[in-house]
Amino acid sequence: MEEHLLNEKLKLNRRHFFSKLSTGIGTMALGSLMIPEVFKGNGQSTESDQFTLGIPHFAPKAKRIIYLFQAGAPSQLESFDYKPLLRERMGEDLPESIRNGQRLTGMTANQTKFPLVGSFADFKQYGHNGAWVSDYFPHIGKITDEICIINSMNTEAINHDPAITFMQTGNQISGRPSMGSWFSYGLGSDNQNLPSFVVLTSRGKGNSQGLYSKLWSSGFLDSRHQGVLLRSGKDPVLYLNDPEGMTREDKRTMLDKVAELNTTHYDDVLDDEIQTRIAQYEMAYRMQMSVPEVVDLKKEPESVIKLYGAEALIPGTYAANCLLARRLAENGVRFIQLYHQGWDQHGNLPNEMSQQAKDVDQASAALVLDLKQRGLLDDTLVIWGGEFGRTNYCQGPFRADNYGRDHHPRSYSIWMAGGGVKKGITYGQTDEFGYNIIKDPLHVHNFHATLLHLFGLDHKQLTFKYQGRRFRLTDVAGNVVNDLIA
Amino acid sequence: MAFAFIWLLIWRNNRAGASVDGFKALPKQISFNFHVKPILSDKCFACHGPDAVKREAGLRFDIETSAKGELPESPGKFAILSGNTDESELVKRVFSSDPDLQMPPADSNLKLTEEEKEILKKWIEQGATFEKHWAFVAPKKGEFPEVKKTDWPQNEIDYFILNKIEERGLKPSDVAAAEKLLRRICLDITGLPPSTDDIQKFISSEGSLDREKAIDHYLSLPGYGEKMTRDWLDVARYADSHGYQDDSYRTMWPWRDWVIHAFNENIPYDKFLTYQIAGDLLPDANKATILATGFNRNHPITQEGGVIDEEYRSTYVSDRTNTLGKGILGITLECAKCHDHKYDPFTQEDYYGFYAFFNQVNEKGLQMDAVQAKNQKYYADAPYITISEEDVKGILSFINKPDTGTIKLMVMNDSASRETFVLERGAYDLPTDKVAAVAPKDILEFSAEYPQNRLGLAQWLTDKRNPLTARVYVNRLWANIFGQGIVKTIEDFGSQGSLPTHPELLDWLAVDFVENGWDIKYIMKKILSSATYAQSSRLTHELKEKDPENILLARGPRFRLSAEEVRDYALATSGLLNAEVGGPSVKPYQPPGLWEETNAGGNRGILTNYVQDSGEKLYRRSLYTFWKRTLPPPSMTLFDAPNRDLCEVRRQKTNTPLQSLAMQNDEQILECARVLSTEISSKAHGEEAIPEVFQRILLRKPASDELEVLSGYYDEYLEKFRINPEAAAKILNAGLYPATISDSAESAAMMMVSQVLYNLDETISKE
Amino acid sequence: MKLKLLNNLLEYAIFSATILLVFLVFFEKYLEVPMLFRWIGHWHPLILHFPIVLIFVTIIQYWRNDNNVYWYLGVTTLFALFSSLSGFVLSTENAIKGNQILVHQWAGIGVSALLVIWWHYYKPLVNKSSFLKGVQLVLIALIVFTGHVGGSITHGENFLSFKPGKVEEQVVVESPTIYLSLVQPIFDDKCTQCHNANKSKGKLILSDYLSLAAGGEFGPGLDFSDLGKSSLKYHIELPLEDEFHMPPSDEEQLSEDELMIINSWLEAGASDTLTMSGLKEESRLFTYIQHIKKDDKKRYSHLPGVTDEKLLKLSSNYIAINRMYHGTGAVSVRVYPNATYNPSQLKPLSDISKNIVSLDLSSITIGDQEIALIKSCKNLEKLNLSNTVLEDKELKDIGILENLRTLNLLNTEITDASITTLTGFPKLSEVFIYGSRITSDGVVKLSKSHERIRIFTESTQAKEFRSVLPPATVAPLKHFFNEPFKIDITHPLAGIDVFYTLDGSVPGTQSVKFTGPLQIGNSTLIKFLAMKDGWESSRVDSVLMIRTGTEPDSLSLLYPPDIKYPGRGIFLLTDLQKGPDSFSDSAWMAFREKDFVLHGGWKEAVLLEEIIISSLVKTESYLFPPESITIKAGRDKSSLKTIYSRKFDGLRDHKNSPAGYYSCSFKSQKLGFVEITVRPLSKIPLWHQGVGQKGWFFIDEVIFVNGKSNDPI
Repeated sequence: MEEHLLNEKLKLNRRHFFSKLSTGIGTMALGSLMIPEVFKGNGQSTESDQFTLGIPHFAPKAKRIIYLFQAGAPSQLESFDYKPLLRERMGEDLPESIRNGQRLTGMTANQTKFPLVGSFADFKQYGHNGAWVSDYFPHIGKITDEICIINSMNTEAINHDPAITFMQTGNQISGRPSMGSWFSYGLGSDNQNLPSFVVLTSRGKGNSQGLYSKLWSSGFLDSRHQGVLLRSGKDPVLYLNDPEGMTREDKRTMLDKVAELNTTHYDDVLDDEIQTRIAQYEMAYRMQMSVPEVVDLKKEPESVIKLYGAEALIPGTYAANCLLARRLAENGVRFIQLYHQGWDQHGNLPNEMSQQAKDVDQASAALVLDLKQRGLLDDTLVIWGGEFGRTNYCQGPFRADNYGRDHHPRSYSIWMAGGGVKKGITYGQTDEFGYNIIKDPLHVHNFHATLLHLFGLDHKQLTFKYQGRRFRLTDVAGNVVNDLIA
Repeated sequence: MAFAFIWLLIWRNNRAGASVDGFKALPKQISFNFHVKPILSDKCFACHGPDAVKREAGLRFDIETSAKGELPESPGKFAILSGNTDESELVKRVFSSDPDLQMPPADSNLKLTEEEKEILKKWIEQGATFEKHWAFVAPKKGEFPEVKKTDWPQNEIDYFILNKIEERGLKPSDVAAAEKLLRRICLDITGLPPSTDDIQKFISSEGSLDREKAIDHYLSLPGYGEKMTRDWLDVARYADSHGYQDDSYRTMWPWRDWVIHAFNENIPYDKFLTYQIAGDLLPDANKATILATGFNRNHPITQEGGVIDEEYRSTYVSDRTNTLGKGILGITLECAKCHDHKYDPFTQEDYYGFYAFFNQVNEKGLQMDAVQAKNQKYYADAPYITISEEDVKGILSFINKPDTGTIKLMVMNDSASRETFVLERGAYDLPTDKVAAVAPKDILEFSAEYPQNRLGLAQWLTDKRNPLTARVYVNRLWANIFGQGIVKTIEDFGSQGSLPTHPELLDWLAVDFVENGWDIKYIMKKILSSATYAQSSRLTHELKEKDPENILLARGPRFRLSAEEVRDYALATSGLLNAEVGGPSVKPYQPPGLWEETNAGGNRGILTNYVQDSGEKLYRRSLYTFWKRTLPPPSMTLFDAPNRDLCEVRRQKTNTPLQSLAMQNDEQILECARVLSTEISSKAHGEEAIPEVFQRILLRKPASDELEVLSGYYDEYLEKFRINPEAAAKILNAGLYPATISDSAESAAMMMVSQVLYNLDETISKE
Repeated sequence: MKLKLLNNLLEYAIFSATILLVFLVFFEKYLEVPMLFRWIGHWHPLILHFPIVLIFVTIIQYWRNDNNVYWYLGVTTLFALFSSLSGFVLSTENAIKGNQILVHQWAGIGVSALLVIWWHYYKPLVNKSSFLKGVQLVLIALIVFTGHVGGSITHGENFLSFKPGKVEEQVVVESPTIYLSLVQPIFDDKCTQCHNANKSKGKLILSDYLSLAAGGEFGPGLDFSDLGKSSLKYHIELPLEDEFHMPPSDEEQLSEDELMIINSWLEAGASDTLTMSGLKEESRLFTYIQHIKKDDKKRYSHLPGVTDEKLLKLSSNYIAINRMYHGTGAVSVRVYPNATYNPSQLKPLSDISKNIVSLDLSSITIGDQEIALIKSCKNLEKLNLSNTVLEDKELKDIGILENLRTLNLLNTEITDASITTLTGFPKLSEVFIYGSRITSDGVVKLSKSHERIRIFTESTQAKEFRSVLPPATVAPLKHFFNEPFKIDITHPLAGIDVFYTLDGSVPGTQSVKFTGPLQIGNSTLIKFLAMKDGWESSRVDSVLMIRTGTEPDSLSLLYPPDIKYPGRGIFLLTDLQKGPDSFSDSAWMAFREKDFVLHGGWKEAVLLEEIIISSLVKTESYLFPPESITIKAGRDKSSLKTIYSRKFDGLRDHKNSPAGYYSCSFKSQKLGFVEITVRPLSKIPLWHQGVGQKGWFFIDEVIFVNGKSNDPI
């Protein structure tokens, strides 16, 4: 319905503008200028909502997101949720009263005992509000005054695939548009020469879980809202590079010829799709210029490299991606999605977790500070976290210095910074066993609703009608959590 | 006094005119199904519909008695009083501006347009008659509508179309040019462009096309089966990997071979369905019919260690149920999984009634994890059949099997009978009431003579009286050909779906299809032989104004080719296409590193690294391209192919910058341009060669101005390359196909030309 | 004579108009109003003013015994009829007539009717003054009422009725009194219908603070001894089913926010003077108010409107124009640097300069045109000039921007000279100067002169961030070699010092500094680290380069490697290739159930003194050192004797995983055949989660080191 309605409006609109000038090469530039704009929806509103697409419903606080997704689910108990009791009662069985009926994964289902295990890493208090952060994350500790730590995230899924899909699309079963696509759909892109939703992946040393393109697919939304995978290496966007031997000038002449013939054909058959095609070729041509410029980290001074850590020199690392994310944010990309794999510590946790932390600790903190000193933090929202938490009891044979933790959907920790989120606070609280939430639970749906709110979007109003139903990122649930908003 | 009379006079004259623009465009007779139901469904059912849980004020508009009965919560009041608009609460509420009364309420984010309000009012005025939803009433062949231009129609279809065209005071477009029409026919039947010889074969010297001959010819080619299969793979969510987390390898391709074979053999649609849904339960079941049931095992299967078995098993069963709903019945069954359907008359019980049919399979949520599966070369989860060399020599001769030992293929069996329960909120661990395997009577009574298993389900589906099966399929065929269905939402014939633009035609086609023994080739030919189909797709300003979406079909279809067709088109026109039919999937060019970047580490399953094929395998048709669910071939997804996680029946037709990048820089396209150019410039030169290339790619002669542009371009580059042979060499080194270059400068210049041609909108559009 | 005609005309007019009106009113149902007549309807708002005025005139003139009153009256009547007619027609354009319209319609018709009657019976009534007074009074009353209702229809409810200013305005003030601006409005909205001075249900009045405190039948509304017990709280928190739940279940209920407001107000002491500043920052109410203040749409209400089409027209590939949010005239503008940029492209923007509240010209060369644009944006609140060559003078040229709040001067040429300019912006509250030429003294000066300005320079925490140099890399990297070669040591950063040792000792500043390529002849262990000022030295890295001697002419395995990790074939054992860190790579072969038993044979016996086995240990992945290594050897297959044997005592814990090289040296001797047996670990030790299971043995190379021939043959 909408997608199509929009297309029609798009055409009408384009027709309207084209009619102003004679068709011909001249229209190309104009065309390319219009289409993205129209898709920002100026003027166009879809039948189901009275709001215009591409414009916030109310005053937004944030304009961009950088989502540092820690794929595999980092343990909250070795990062931000400090539970000294678990050390005191190390090895004791988890009281059934606490676990009451929480389902188990197939990996611990047949486990007869659930020995509590405390964090191998020590914790320190940081910042004005004395936030607890484990020694695995000394740099993030230094920025607790800038961030909002949430210890009460909770989800429904207990396995990676559904959980990460839920976190990224608001639904456990794949097929829905990802968050990034929703934002692109609701706010449009700011820089017409870059994709509005970009995905970056990096791999940790720990036990990792796969990623899937469905996580950045646009589902039933128009595929121009699909996440574009930016890759390290010579072809940052698929098919971006022209074949060997073809210069920019060659490409320009070629596009002119293509446009010329297309226009001739348009004059014959009058199908507006042809005009759109011409416009898309122009936009592609501009992307070929802007993308390589943005991804070129060599432009960054050594001081910045030092801030993010030397790994930033190696393309494809988490550090490099964080730095890249900042450059993309500066250049008006709406939604920058990072994934860092390797957080699935079913065993050998202390060892692997410390390595994983080394990968991300400094760069994550550096990103926040860098944004701040550049005046970007106000309207750039940074999110750090995974798809669920990990159990407070040990998986597999138990040792104080080498243990594993299973999946735990009931509570986990993430942190956010900038973008109108309260800073220097710790939100939500789990019981002393770090198993159940006892204060201010934050469910994934509410998390999504709050994010949209920060961007001036009412999660109930941002809908898309598909198969006769109006879909939302928050499905049929979700409340905005004002307490998180500055 | 006089004044009064004058006024009165003016009145009389004006009344007629006045009534027209009074309430403009309100139909004389309001039809419940076509005017009222869509409004009620879209704007009211959410709270006053089938879903008992969400129902407000005990009022439901989907059932006449409730809608017209006394309002339970406000005695003495009625939502609808036939003929009485003043007393009907509905009218009061929808017209009210008082936020407390107004319907729909503000917080619902739903609004009625003035026209919708008036329709509801007028409907009640006219007696507020209810009808069963149109799609649940078995289709009947009706009268052929009257048409003025009686010499236009070429078969039954055209009467229905022409009638509507004339109603709007338009007239059909002229017949498309012979080459264009031949190209269109060939693309629609085989998914490939016609060969240059075909043009000689079917277009007479004076330029008239022997349509029937062409249609019959193409229908007889194996390409027909491949094209039809391409469409069916989306419905069947076919893939060569398991999906989820580790997404390792599975062998389902022999099932794909069966589908191609089934279409080419023109197995009637009812059998086609029966085999895939219940081939194992047939009295005369054989290995082929059992193999067909792989259809219901194509869904993703997890190989993530430590998942909860039952959770996933129930997901698989749901997937089959939803696929049946969306792909075959054209209803959004999945909406009734967690609660009664909000718009259509399906309860949660109905959903699990279907669910029960697919719930008897002897399967596990997690058979073994990716690593184990890899090490044990376990590429098919039980239940499966084993396909041996003997089979392939015998009954399974349609399988194009490389001689690499036996193959396991996942199929259905009912060897694990289970009781089925309604699952609260669809959660596997919240069973409530027990339900039996049965289909909802609102569609068609599940009569006692059907066995209570998948076979019975198949019989129910293919029962002549089933109102959906035939309609949905002919509608999909129609959509593939004309770009949009008679019912635009081909996945949803329910209340929320769009209404048929030509209901009588849809019914006629559906009935005709069944009457002719569900003969797919027959109905294809019927459609392709119509005058409607043969129209030129050229727009006029008038058509653009009056019918931008081409709903009336006063012109031929024009839209971008599907992802597979785009690539196949390039392969075919360049002569690279490898026409081999069937067999295991192949791995053509793909930008390096895609799988490696996102996999779950080196040893998780066997699809962690993309190992590109070589030689002929690079040039197979795209439906054979290896499909890894978590990372489908980019050249496909960029052009709107679904990721095959779920059953999909309608692809978007988008137009994005990334597509143009792919057309410009995908090694495959470049290689095609190179091979074509080198071949041509080895035979002809410059001025003769350009029309050659043009003809090969666009299958028509270039217009003078087109030729001018291209030869100018050609000469410019010919010169460049003569001066700078290195550049020519670089340009010419696209792809692995062995080069046979006579004059590199000429070939390179020609390659630039063919690249321009491959990047034209016309090239990748069917028109 | 003339008068007579005029009079008749008037009579006709009034008569037919009356007929018409009657006709319309009675046959409304059956009529469709013709277009032409409809258009007349639109005159209603104009016509209606005549009768209103005229009625008063007429009445006044009547009492002043003006003898033309009859005429006044006639004309008045006629206009009244016309306005009724036109009004009626107008009303038919609504699909359905709301009550207000109906009331207005009948009142209007009433007026006309009265006038017609008066006019018709003018003469007979002349002396019935008392009766006339009545008529006139009713007329006046009626006309006012009609006007009132009419007003409500066009301008909304109670347009003409007086009402005190409402809440929204007050919310905007910096620190509103909670009670007035938030609490009372809730009562006004949802309670006072029943609890007001006239209609005090339950003897409760909620229209003012005192009556609220006083409360009603159920005790004080505010119980200051224990606010939690206040009947206010009690009633709103009763379950909905409870008959005393307020508001009554059939009325509109309090929203979550409203409940929150009331409760937080009670918690905060329920004073009528409590202001926002009296609230705790973390309290929900505080956040809530923060919101309504921020989201307040009125903030930009002073800006001119601008259409989407206009924004669309002014946008281009490199100029992004965004409306701040739905329904506001405020827009943000971002100009992206690009090859085709030239200042004149900014010109059209002056059309909407008043709408621009945020302007981003980062990385654009700032010249006159840019400055001109900035100047013209009177409502500018946020200006980004980062990464430009902006200098003090240009910044000065911009002049005073009254509303500027945020200014970004990151990486500009701005110096301390601009501090006065900066303090010039009255509302400036944030300025970013990192990477500019402003000195720390400048910062101090600036913050002194204007404590409200927050200055962002390099973040202090960022300064603390240290970073370890990445290790240098040895190229070419050959773990095994058979011919001498040269190595280079490279590093991604410039100006790096690399120190190295070759004797296995830990390198440091005292060690040799790497200057040029090194010749590697024999097996070598090189240890090295990289150093640079401001960086922490890289970790010490080492590369072991082993020189291999002979390679067996025949090589065979007694048992094949485990099917899971077969490797790329037996030749990998002598291909001089070191397997990568990931053990699933085909450069590794692995053994678990069966022993690794390698047979190597030489056509010509060779002099050997050492065999090195290159393996991989990753305890977390169950890759362990072997249980034992045994080497049998002899001149030929038949004469084998054990020349080396070693048992490994399993690892103590996971911490120290050995490198994985096992050097097996023996007395230098001539050998024609060797049998190397490696038994994988049979029981994984206690500390490991896989305790008791077998360990994996991974191998990627076997090196045969030639012996020094001391006994000449």
